[in-house]
Amino acid sequence: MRTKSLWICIVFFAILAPLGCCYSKIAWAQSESHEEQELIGNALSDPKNPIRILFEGERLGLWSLRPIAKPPIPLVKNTAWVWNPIDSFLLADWEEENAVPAPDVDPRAWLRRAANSLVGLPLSYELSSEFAAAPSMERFAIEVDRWLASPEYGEHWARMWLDAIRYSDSNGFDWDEFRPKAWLFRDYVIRAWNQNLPYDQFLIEQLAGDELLPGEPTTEREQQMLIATGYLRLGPYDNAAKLFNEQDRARVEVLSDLTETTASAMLGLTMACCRCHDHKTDPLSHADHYRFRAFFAACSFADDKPLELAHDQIAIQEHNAKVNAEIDAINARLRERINELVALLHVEPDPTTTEKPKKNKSNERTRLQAAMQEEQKTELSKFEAQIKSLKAQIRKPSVGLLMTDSKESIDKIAVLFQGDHRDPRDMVEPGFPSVLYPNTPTIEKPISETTTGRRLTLARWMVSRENPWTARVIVNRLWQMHFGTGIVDTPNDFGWTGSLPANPGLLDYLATELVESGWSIKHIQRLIVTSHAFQQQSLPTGSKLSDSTGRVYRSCRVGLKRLKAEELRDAVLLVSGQLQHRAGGPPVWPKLSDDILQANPAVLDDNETKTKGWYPSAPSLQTARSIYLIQKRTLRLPWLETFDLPENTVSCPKRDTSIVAPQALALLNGEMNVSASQALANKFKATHVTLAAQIEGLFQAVLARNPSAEERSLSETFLVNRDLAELTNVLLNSNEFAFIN
Amino acid sequence: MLSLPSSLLLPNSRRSFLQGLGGGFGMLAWNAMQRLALPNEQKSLRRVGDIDPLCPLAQRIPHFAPKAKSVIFLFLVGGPSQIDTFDHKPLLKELADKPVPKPVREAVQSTRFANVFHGCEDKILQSPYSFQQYGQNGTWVSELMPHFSKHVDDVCFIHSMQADSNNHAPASYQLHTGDVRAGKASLGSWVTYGLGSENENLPGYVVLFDAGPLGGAGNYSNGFLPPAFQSTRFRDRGEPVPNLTPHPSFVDGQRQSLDLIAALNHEHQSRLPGFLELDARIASYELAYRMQSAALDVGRLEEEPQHVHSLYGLDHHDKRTQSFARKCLLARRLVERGVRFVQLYDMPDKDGWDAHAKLTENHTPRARWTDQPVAALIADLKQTGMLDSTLVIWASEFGRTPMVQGDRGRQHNAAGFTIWLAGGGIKPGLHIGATDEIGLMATERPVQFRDLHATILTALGISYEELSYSVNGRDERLTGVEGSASPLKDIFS
Repeated sequence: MRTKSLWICIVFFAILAPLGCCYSKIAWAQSESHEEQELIGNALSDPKNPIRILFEGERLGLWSLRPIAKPPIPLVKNTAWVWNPIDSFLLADWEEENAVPAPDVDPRAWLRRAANSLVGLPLSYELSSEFAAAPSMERFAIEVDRWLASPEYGEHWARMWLDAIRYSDSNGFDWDEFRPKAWLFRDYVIRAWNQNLPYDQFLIEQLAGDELLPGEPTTEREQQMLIATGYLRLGPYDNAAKLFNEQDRARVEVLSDLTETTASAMLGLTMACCRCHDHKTDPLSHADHYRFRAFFAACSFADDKPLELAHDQIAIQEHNAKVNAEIDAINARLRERINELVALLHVEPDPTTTEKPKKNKSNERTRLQAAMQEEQKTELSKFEAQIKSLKAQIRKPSVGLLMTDSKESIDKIAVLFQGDHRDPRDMVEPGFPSVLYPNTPTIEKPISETTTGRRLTLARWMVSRENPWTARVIVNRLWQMHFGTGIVDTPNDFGWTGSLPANPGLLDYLATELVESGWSIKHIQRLIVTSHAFQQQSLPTGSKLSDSTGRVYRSCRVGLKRLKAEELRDAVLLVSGQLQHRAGGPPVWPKLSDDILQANPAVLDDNETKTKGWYPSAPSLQTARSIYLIQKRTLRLPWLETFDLPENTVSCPKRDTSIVAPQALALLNGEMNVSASQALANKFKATHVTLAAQIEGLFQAVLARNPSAEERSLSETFLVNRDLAELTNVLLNSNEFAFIN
Repeated sequence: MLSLPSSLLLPNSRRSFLQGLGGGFGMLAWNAMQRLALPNEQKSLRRVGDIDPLCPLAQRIPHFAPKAKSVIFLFLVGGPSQIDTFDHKPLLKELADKPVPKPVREAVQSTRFANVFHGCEDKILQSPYSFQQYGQNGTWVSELMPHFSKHVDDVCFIHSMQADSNNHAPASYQLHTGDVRAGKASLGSWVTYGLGSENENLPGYVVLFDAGPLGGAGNYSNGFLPPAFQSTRFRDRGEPVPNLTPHPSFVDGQRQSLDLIAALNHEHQSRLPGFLELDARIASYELAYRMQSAALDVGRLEEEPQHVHSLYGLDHHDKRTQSFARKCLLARRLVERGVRFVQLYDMPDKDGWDAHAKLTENHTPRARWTDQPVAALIADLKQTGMLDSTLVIWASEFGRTPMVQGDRGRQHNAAGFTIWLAGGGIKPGLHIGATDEIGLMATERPVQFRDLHATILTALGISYEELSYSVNGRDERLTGVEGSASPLKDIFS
């Protein structure tokens, strides 16, 4: 047993009110005296565990509660098919059910998949052809590494993370104010993925980056840690609540959001379900929600915190002190000269104004102005101009969208009856899900003097070896992005209502591999993409493929992937040569029709700080990559929404794909496709003389291949009375362009 | 490229295709094109829920003879007060500023609606509106609805509606989908999934709003049902649906372009047999082509004669009345063209009828914005003979408390509120159920949303127990667990 200094225990038997407690059979109240209590073990082994008692021993067979253990790599018969351990795990299952792996796709499709999966962009004709001419695993691996190292990789994968953590550039609710600094966090995520920041560090920084610093940031890395706390600020926030004296509700909503988003995105736990009552299916109690919430109890917005490096902050202060001193000096000289002139020109003080010296001065100045000669006026205005220009030199520190702790105002967290903040019941202390961690953890004392250590304690536990969820959840998200379907098909729900892992051994293998590689995301992705499974043909949805001998084909990939909203937009812009490179920065605001803007009260209300309203960016920025487009909560970009852009108020586990007529209308008639078609057609008209060359060039640019004889002839016939731009639009609308095989 | 023998690629389950690709389209796109082009009467009709993957919106044969062919659901967002509109309680005047009578309070407190007292004072707020009797049955209607009051004999009131949540989004989700949680399929999706639509060139399920309902798109989502049954938002001004018209330099060649797209897609598909999402996308282009003219046509409100404009209030001095009038008229035009389900939200701004304070400042203008258009819709449908086959529903997620909240406001009330139905074989002039003496809780024949859903499906000729969709091995129904809902059979004529 650990010592009292490490663990403060909870007394729950004492308050195990058999009849009186209506919100839960068991409440977690905190022992008033911090006497040493008996430590309780996890529910899987300890009969005294509160969750075991609460649910009468049921619900504990949940697969995701089991510790992650590195499984042995299974033996398979068809060893020739296996390229790496991933294949062994898959093939072992398939062999057991007498199935065989589906055949491979052709090299072009294989490489296109990898490009889509790693950077989210179309493959060039040149690369595709070069690879198809001499395909090899070595060459494939070189391209994979190149993509993993390219800046576009982070831009693509940031989107996955931003989906999972409900990123938005605005508050939501009635007013949906723009958050001018949210983009710093978006860029942080892009950079973290590009730099392969270890995933454990990535989580720690988002939950508690500020707690890692002893003072002001001294390196760019430390600055990034502060920006990472933007994660804690990204949830919806009802800025109007204070008007209705409902700031308590808004505060509670912030804390609920942090609890639920963190649990969904990082742990695959549905904490939202136990906000009002004990979880209906999972081994989580009503109190568990609030114990988790208590880690965020000291959170306080830090949007005015300077972000500059410590020495820059000092430089700014010194600079400002120097400028202020100069201003003071000039002011003194000005005052002196005014006094001289007042005396010289016999300007009498106004007898009616005596009480306020400042007002008196200004009156004096007015009367002096009237008495002065032109050159004296000029002389004084020169002083004033100097002061004005000096004031303009005062430097304001940069700020962000940050969170930190306020040690002075730590919310007391109580279990809320039916989730209602007006009905608090028993108080709780911070705690992890009590099914496995019933005791109250010791809060780590952070190096930061201004924070409580609560979030850091949560973050450290999140990435500890004992946590059975974190590593599984992230490798499952990676798998889903690469194959379309996760090993667990419900990435945000590793509970009883979620799916079971299709291949538990593989999931745990990847999870341990992640941890052992130092939480290297790119290591896992390299493993996935260079597996044989990654090259397999996709199987049509819902069908079991079998031949006359009863042999069944299996593949991890089911159905064809329609490009996601952002991928499709980026692809149209890239192939038409319009995609603008952008190295981060404030979001790009697309031009929207008045009809759309007027349908939204939240943007009609322009204001001085430009946090309401709609402010279209310069035309040259309109074709930036989609990750850089503004993402408001109540006004979502219609083009992206047509292609199933997800809701951004809660964590999105998985993109839906619909195939509907409005999408066809957007691609046939929409402005973006029309201008892309015209741009590309004009390019080929200028550079390619013959029609045949133009057709060939178009197919190469859009589909990364040459046209077949039939396609060539169909295109030539079409061009007899149609324009090359229309042919371009045809190709941009083709299924081949929209689907990844 | 190694490829699978195409004989292996035949589907073994239509349902799994529908679930998987969400569009529901068949194997051979050429066939699809040919069949989509057929007029409805030449296709062999399928039964409810038996989706032809080639034309998922094709009409289907109902389970039994329907009373109604289509639905216009008027959703008054935010909870209009029953006791200030259709549930006249003279006692409130006597009880003004007094506490809730003890027997009423005790009756409510012993139910799941005990939380209805939460957030308001124990003090009655009498209705600021006067009531009068109208029609043959002497139906009481408040002064808020002067136009509608002329049509009380055409509608059937349910005064005893109840919801499972006293909060907007959950109650609203429940009224739309049967479940207080977001993510389930909405009524309009269920109906188009069951019956298809009479006009395949328009979406089967259309939603109309300015700012949308509280709780957002979760209200009108297709949930787990295939996206073929998702809703499409139409606007009442300009292009009804975005991107309806081709670019000027592409317009002449559009048909040729579509033919070439189809040809290239078939060439592509021959290399990838069996993938239904490819058929689905091919079909979506043909639908888009036909939708261009059909949607533009239905949106031409100016084609309607002046007297119709005036009837609905398109020329009303209040712009918000105009706006709602345009939507009501558009709803009629959509239904006229065979659209199965129109969901119309009264949401000109971000508040709705949510009068937590200053009831009159909220309800009076809102009634003005909706009263004339709603009355006109009933009159117009009746006069054109469409009311017999069109079920019109007027409802909100809940009503409001007789108790005061804040400065002369009323709190949400899921315990008992009024909705009404008209047309579609509903017996007019009925009053179903009643609330207690202060209009707080339904005491006579309480009706749940699942009962309302069962009633609506019954009117459409759908057996509410049989209309189901398998999700993760579980048969989902709009009306929930089998046997828990009961339609109001006696309200059908």
